[in-house]
Amino acid sequence: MPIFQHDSIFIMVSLQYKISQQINNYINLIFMRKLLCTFLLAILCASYANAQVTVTGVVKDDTGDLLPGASIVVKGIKGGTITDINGKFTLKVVAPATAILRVSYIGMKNFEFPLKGKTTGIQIQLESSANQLDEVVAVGYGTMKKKDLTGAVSSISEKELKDIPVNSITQALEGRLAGVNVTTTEGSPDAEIMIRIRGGGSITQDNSPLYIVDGFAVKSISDIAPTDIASIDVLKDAASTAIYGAQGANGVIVVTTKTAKEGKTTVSFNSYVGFKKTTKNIKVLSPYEYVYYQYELDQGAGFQNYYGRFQDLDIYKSDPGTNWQNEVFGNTGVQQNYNLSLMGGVKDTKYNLSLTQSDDKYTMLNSGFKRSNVNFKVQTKLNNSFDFVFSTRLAYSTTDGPSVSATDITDQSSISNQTKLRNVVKYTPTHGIKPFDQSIQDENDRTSVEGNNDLLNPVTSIQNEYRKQHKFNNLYNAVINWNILKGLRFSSNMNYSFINNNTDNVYSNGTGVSRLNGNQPVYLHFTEAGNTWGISNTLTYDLKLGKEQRINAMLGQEVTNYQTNTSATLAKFYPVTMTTPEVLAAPNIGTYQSITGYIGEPTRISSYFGRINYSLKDKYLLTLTAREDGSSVFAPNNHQWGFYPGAAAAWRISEEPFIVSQKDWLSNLKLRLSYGEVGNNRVGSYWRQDYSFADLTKIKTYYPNEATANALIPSDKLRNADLTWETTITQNVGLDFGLLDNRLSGTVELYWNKTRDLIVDVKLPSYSGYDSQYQNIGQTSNKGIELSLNAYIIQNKDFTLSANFNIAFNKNNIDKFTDGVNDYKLYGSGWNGSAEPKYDYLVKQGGPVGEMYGYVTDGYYSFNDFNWNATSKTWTLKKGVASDKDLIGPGNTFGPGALKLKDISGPNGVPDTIINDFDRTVIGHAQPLHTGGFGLNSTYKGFDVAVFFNWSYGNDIYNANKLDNTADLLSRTYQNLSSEMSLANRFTTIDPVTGYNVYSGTHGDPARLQELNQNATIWSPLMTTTVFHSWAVEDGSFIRLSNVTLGYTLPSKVSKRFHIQSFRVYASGYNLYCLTKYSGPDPEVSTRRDNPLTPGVDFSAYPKASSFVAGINVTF
Amino acid sequence: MKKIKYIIILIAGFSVVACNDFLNTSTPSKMVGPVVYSQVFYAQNEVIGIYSLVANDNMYAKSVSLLWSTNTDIEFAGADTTTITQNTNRGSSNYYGTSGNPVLPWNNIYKMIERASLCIEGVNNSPLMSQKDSTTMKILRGEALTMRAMGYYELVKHWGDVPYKEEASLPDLSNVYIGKTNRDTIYNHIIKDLLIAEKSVPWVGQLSYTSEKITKGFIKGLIARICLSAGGYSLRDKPGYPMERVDNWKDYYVLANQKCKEIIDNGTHKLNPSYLSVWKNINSLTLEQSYNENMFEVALGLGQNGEMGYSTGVRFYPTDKYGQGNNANTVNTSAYYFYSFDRNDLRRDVTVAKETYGKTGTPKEDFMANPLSYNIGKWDQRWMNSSWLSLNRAAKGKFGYGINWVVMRYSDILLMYAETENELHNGPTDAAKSALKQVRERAFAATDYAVKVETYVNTLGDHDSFFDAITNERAWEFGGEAIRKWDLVRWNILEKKIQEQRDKFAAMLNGEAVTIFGNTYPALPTTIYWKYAANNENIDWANVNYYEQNSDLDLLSSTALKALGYTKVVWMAGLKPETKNVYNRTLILFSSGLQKARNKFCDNRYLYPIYSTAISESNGALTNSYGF
Repeated sequence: MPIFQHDSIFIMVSLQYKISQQINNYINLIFMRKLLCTFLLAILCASYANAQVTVTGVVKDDTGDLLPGASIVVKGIKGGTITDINGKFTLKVVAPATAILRVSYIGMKNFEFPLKGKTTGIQIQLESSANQLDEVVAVGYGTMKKKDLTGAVSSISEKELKDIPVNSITQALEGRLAGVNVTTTEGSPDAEIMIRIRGGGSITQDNSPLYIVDGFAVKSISDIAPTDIASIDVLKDAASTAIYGAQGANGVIVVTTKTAKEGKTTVSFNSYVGFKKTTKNIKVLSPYEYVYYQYELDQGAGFQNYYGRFQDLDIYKSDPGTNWQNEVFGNTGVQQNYNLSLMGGVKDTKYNLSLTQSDDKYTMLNSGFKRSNVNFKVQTKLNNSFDFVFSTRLAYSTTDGPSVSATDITDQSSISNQTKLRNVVKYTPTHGIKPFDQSIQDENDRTSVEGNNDLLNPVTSIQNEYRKQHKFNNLYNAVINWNILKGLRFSSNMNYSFINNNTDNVYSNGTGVSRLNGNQPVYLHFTEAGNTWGISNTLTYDLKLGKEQRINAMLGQEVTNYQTNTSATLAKFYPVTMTTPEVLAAPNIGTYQSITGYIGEPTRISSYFGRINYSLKDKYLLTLTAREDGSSVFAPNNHQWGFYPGAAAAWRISEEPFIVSQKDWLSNLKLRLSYGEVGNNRVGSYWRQDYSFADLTKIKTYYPNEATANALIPSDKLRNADLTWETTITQNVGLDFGLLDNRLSGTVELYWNKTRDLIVDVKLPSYSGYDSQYQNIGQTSNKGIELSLNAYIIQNKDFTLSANFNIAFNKNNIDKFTDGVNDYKLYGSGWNGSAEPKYDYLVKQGGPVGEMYGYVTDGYYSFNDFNWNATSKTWTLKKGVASDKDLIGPGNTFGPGALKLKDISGPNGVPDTIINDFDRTVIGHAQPLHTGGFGLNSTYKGFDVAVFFNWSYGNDIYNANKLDNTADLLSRTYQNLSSEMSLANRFTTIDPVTGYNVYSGTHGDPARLQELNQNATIWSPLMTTTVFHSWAVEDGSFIRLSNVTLGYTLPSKVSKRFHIQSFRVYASGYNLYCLTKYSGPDPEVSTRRDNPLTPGVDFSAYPKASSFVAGINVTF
Repeated sequence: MKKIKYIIILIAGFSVVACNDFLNTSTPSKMVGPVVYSQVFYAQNEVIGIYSLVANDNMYAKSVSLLWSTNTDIEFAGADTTTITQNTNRGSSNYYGTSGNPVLPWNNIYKMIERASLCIEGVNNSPLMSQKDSTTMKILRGEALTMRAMGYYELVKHWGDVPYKEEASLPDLSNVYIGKTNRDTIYNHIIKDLLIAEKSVPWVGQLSYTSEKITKGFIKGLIARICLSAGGYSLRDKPGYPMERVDNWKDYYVLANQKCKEIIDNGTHKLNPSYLSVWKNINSLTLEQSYNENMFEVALGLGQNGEMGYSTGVRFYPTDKYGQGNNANTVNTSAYYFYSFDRNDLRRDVTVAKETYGKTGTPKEDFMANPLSYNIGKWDQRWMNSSWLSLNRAAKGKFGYGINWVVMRYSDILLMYAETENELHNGPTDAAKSALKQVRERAFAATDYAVKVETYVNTLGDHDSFFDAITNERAWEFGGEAIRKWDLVRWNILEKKIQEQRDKFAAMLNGEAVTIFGNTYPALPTTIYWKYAANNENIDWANVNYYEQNSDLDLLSSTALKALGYTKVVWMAGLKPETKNVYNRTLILFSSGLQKARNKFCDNRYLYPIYSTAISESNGALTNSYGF
């Protein structure tokens, strides 16, 4: 079918011309062009004779930069040339009239240029390959072309990363990849960025994915400068991750850093500066309303002592008070980032060096973050069969400022929930007529009003708590590749890294810790030193059997070792007057309490693995993988090793003859199927009963003769030699499609992951003498659908517009769960320390993780629910009305206006008019129905614009702040409330005219009370226990305009005059707008993360900020 | 192909390296049992780990010593109608325990027991047992056995029947989800353990063992104490929840008697001639080593732990002189206890604090006019040492006092000996009388010996009068020391004595004649006058008319009184009727959770409910009894 072949060539040629065309004219034009070209060519072919001529020209890339190293051949003729450092080429051509130059360059579309007799001044501009199928994707221990993939892999390329000036790469991933859920849990400098791939299988273990950087597993990717990254690939199904065996259960994120290109030496400089502001605070009562509320709590002398007589309270209306949230989080954070990189090389040796310096001041007082990165990579060809790559990454960072969401690290105080963040909301906005004396604390009664405040001045407690963390991370990586025979390659990869971190803490006068130590400064110094090393060896063989079969086989072996040693020094009893710098300068002035050291036990994994890729006719693809992992954390018996097989098949339907005819619109269609198993061993070594010396900075021991005696104590976890791997089984069906020459491409994935033998830290009965034991129990599953779409809508020379969209649905289910005789267990998020609500999450067989468990709000008790006893002047509940008195602790204000909860059930399964444990039910779900993101990128001449949105839909948030800030919690007076409890809203007991408490007792007056509260919309805050009820569960759905970037690139003609290859300026805004019904500061929140079973709690989160940056990218 | 051979050899080489012990990791920072018990030093540190839990808040730093030691007729944690049912110390002390009361978890006691069991098993299997170090190892095992027995004893005292096992928890959990064991069985087991332990452990002063460690004398004393509980009454988990004692209770008394006698005969432990010094030493963090009256002190650390002096003791408000104040409301006492003492009893003013200090911010004593708001005076900031003082003066909050908790004093041995003699011989023997006299001699000035010691003791002719004398003597000797409650329980007179206190207090308020613990008051004064001593810091206690009306001062006008420096306080019958009502109602309320009328289940419900988490974590093996 020669005609057919011709046709297809001309279609391809014609496509080169299409760039200026609108897409709606596209199909029609193809036919016109085809005819025209055929005609022209026929004429040209006839008019030229054979003669060798020198042809010269330049090759440029899509941005107009000269492109060195591009390969140029004359079609159909052997030999060719490559462009020099200035992108110029010279080539002998026999028949310039008919010759067609074929220009190729990695990452660019191949380009065919018919000379048509032209011999000089040829300008060829290559187009970057919008066709993502040619992209190379990192898979375990190797790379693959995207079109050959059989597993589920999402990728983000350098090009996409380039436009997003972010401080950490995890931030760049937010919302961009289907099935990859990135949550910035708080707004703090040290906030954990939680990445979950397809929901995470384990219910109690760490669900973080495995991070692989340039071939080796690392603990975190947050210390890699974003500008150093070439690509990020996320492996989602077990067929892709099984090759990583151990630890691949939660997906794998493969990061590849930039590699220099031969010949083209470039120096680039990137920089941005920006600022950020806290977006939203919790509204609190004004000083007047605060004082009024205090009067409502206490009409006695205690109140008068501090705030004066009721009749005079109006003076507080003019008291501006102190907005503690503004004081603490009102800073404008300033970010600065500078990156300088150098790339280049000669034929056999390439190198790149990148230096990054970033400096981030946060919105909180005295908090900031600084980091310096050095990234160096060199690759060299030793001879024909050996090449060698060496790279190193150094990162040094310092973080300033105390941890605000955690309690003091030496936590020896009794109040575990006394966080600084809570202070800023609750701390008294006005001090009234007499300053507080906080010196007396009484846990049990109200005899001392000062003690009932139980809070610390938020500003001084932050100012006086010095904390500086230094982190130094070094990583060295060496790879030797040995091309033994054609197709047979041996690769040995060696990796060594060490960390050296230390933290200085000084708690000076005014902090909670110092208060417990005679107001004298306390000094605490931590060090952490660790190293990781690994060696992997792989043998890869590529084999072509005939024209149609390709086999790629890989066999490998790997060992890794990880160890961390820590030490802590605690010194106390510095003179009260010593300032922080003085303590740091002379720590020996204090009395050393303890020096503890801990040599970590190495965690080791030894593995053997293999993979076979088989391809038949480029249409039928099969991948088989297997891996055997041994882990040192399990007992050395048959529990130590796990075997993880995987299989995947793909069918490139678009290559089938019956589809090829549809190629003009269906450019790619691939169906993928996979099955695989992976293991999880992320748990410490608990198979022996260990004894270790008590860390005297945290644990009290025995003090004979007032000296601290060392204690050797057994671990609080009972050993379990039978503990073994947690296994995740993944089944995945995927469909990749590309339409209209891949202008619209996308992927649909369906998956079903099951995790069995969950490693669960099972609580043991207190009388066992242990806290818990790790056991393999239960099974969870995640099922879901993911869709991602990319569209290159308009691709003109001057104007481009592209869009991307992704959405993921995930359904989590606990398939099997037992707790003794029950198939459920209640867990506590613990936001309120040991106080109520103690158990607020349910884990139940058949349900999802993250079920919020509590009471159902039923407004407040009405006047019809109670009888007024005119003699005793008290309220009594009517018969048949359910009572929650014992639950909410309203004291003497149990009557109309008290919070009312629904009576759902009782011990016999029917409502029993007593609100107690039986009346709890599932009142919220932390798991979203779907999450996703979409964005638009556009360029017009030198301008570029990118807009990105991300969303989450259908998840509930447990707004614990609301509970905490609307009750007279634990009878603590002199604490402020949030504005939900404003006088206009709440049920009040005080007659504003007389100042009498008309609720009950001497001045009790039911008629007046009813009159006062006819418009009350919320119950009285006078309850001492914060039970968890449905009012605090809110819809957490949101859609966020997470990023807008506007850039301008100077035309290269202009920049060249300044010897600059390219020059771009841009401005970017992050977290610009969030559309949500959630009443709290930010719907993207999860503050109780110690236990993965209690997601979605919003309690005292570091407020999030919006940020704006402006920056430049310069390449010389 | 040669190359391939190399590769295969290379990979095979790695594999061999990888296989050989690569996955068998360890760290010197973590030891396994066989390592710990093969070196004396490590084993000693493991035993400190057990001690550290004896010194834990759950045991003697707070719970056992303070929170769980009230209420009796002479000590109480006060409460009002609202707080009495709350899930706080106030609720549980007044016997309104609920399974959700966070004062009540027992976790660390069981943790201590587990550590002790690990130690006992570790020592038994130690290679050192067949070497010269076996003596040391056996001492360590003896200490562990004793601490385990102490743990179970406290559990049984507070909860009755509890889960019991002699071996450490097994990883297959076969001995973890266990139910309750009858307390009589537990008592027998721990007494047997202690009889083994006492053999190997040295006396105080030997092998550099001080009373901050477990020593032979203490173990013997503990056997005696446990025997008296085992042979005494307790609330039984059977229908109706009766107070019962075992039939062979006398056997326990015989053993208790024998152990006390062994201690007395040995002579290592003696009474400190000064009752006041006992407490001054304890407060100044001084370990008294010449008399060794304190047979076992839990060594708490300055600035580290211990609620003594803070939650119990004379109440201090912040002053420049002593610094940060304290909150002494966890264990209170009353004028009833004050009046129970003989007016010459030297122990009275040590034990009952009728003052607070620095209430006005100036460094001076304040007279306590509320007869229900006295504190236990055995802990007093003024006695603390200089290093504590300098820290407390700088403090702006609670600062750890570090005062050791005294688990047992030698006077207890003397009184247990006297008590068992009386019970076993159905009347006081000479030995019994002599022991009681020893205790009383220390309590009085030599000039009072004839009447207060000799005559007093010699007139106790029969079993019952001697028993009553023991009942009273123990109240006077051990006030605030977490002993009274358990004495009253084992004698089965807890409710009776508390009621007696209510009745007699009401009589005092009515101006009627009362006899408290044998001391009779025809009529207490209706007004009390007090003034400061010359130093203007202390009250001139000697001239406060607690016992008789001061008719001279009664005649003076308030101006004249003021001129003389006196302050007039209305007292007892002189109080306003509404105040008397408040006091009476308060006393009726205190400890009322014991009564069936209040708790709806049984009388004498002094036992605590098992904490709800312990129940839910037991997978059905545990349930609460006694109506909880």
